Amino acid sequence: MQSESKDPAIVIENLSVTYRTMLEKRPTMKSALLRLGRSKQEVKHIEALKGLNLTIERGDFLGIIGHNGAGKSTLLRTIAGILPPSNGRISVYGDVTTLLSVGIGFNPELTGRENIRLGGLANGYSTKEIVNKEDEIAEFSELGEFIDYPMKTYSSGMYSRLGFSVVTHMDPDILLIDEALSAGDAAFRQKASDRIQLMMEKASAILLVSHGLKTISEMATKCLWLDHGQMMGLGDCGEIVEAYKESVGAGSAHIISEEI
Amino acid sequence: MENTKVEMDKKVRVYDAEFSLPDMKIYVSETKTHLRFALEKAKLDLKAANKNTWLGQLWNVMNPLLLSLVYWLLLVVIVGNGGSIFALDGVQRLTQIVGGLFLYRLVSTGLMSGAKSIISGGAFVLNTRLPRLILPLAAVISSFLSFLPSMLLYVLFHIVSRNPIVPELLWTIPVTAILLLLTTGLAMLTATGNVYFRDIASFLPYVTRIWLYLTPILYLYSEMPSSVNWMIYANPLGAIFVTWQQVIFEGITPGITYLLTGLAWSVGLFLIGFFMFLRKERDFAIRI
Repeated sequence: MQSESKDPAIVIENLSVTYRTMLEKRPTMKSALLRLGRSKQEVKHIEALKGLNLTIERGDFLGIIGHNGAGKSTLLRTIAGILPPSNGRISVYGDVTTLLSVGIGFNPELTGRENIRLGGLANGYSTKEIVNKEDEIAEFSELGEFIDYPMKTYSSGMYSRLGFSVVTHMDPDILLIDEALSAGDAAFRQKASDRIQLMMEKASAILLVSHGLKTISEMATKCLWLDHGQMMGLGDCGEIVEAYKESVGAGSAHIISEEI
Repeated sequence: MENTKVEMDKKVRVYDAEFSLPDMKIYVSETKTHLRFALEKAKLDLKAANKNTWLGQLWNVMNPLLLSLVYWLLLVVIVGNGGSIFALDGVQRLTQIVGGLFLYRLVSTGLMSGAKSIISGGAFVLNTRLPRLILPLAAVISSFLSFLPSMLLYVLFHIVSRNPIVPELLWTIPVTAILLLLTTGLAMLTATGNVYFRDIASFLPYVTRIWLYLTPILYLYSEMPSSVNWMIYANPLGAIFVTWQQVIFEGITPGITYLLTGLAWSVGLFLIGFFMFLRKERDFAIRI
């Protein structure tokens, strides 16, 4: 291990991720039958990430911005070990918890409390540890008695509040968050960002994907701008966010509206 | 951060483009830590499945029981093959169907929910690093959990139809274990296959039905014409169900040839399923 002032948390070398999708313009029984024996399938390659090089150090809070489909979520999933790289490699030092799409695998038929238990166990916690955290998570989510109701009775805000609460009560070394800060109303959002600050003190690195440019520039210590799977910029958030806004140009109105 | 530095050497995970089988030791231990999740998910899935019904969890027992009655009506009352309804032999025929079908349901539901486990657990696959193997395992556990209470019901049938109550009945435990191993293998296999060909899950109900008729369940192995005896060995479930019938209906120690044949099929299918799953699971997140 290098004993410099900063140690790496995540090292990404020449990373590419390509999705392969079979395309059939109109997936009919007829075309499937006609194709039998002749392998005439249209394979479309979607390059979600192209030759990315990046080192995230311990103590970094990296904000990731970019338009839809820029590869932000793919990057988080690859770091989490969920998607395999098609090229290059990633080294991750420490445990990773993901808060990808809010509401990881929640079963709407089950109560909030039961889903908390499942979420915790899925992240490798013991039953005892989860029982200890259960009330804290329930309280943080501000669900009141709803915590013991099936989740199908929840509003979407309640749903994402619980998702956020579950993941931010795990104690990972490296935390990956995807679009989670939009959970709940303004008051909850403040609480959520406080919570992330608190986790920051414990976690060694945080990666946050968001369209909320204001949130990102306030919280992150470093920003990464992705465009069509390529790195457009990395560094000081003020500069990166400005550059991104400029490139979006007149279309920036939609970014602002997401902040409200 | 200073406070985490101490733990730094603990874990380094490297993900790269080259495929290699995972380190077995780590893989097995990670799967083990998540078995709690599998058990909890299995329990909660069962609970959720029947939540909106009046009989609730009782349906886990009602389903195979009603199915047994349907087959019994068909075989005994309509076809008239198996004695009079209310005489002992009619009841025994029902017991025989119940005993076989309850065990068969362990395979068929494990297989069917196992096949769908990766697709329906998509959110877990896409958003957590949960070992994927846990999902088909949870499906099999869930199937086993609904099998257990159904066996309690079988005990009633067993007593009423005066089947032997002998120490040999303990053989049901290893026989069930062998079948469980086979079910797990099949669940891993179909779960993998279904990610690539979603049609598999749609075909399975028909496959399991035909398999039911080809296996000594609705009829006794001793009733099979000797010309089709080979089917007992060629059918992965054949020998296992013969041993099951020998134990619970005849009260004898199962034939060693049957036992070993069943075990060989289970171990074989388990290993094939396991390695197939390991080879392909990297792709699951991309394919879902």
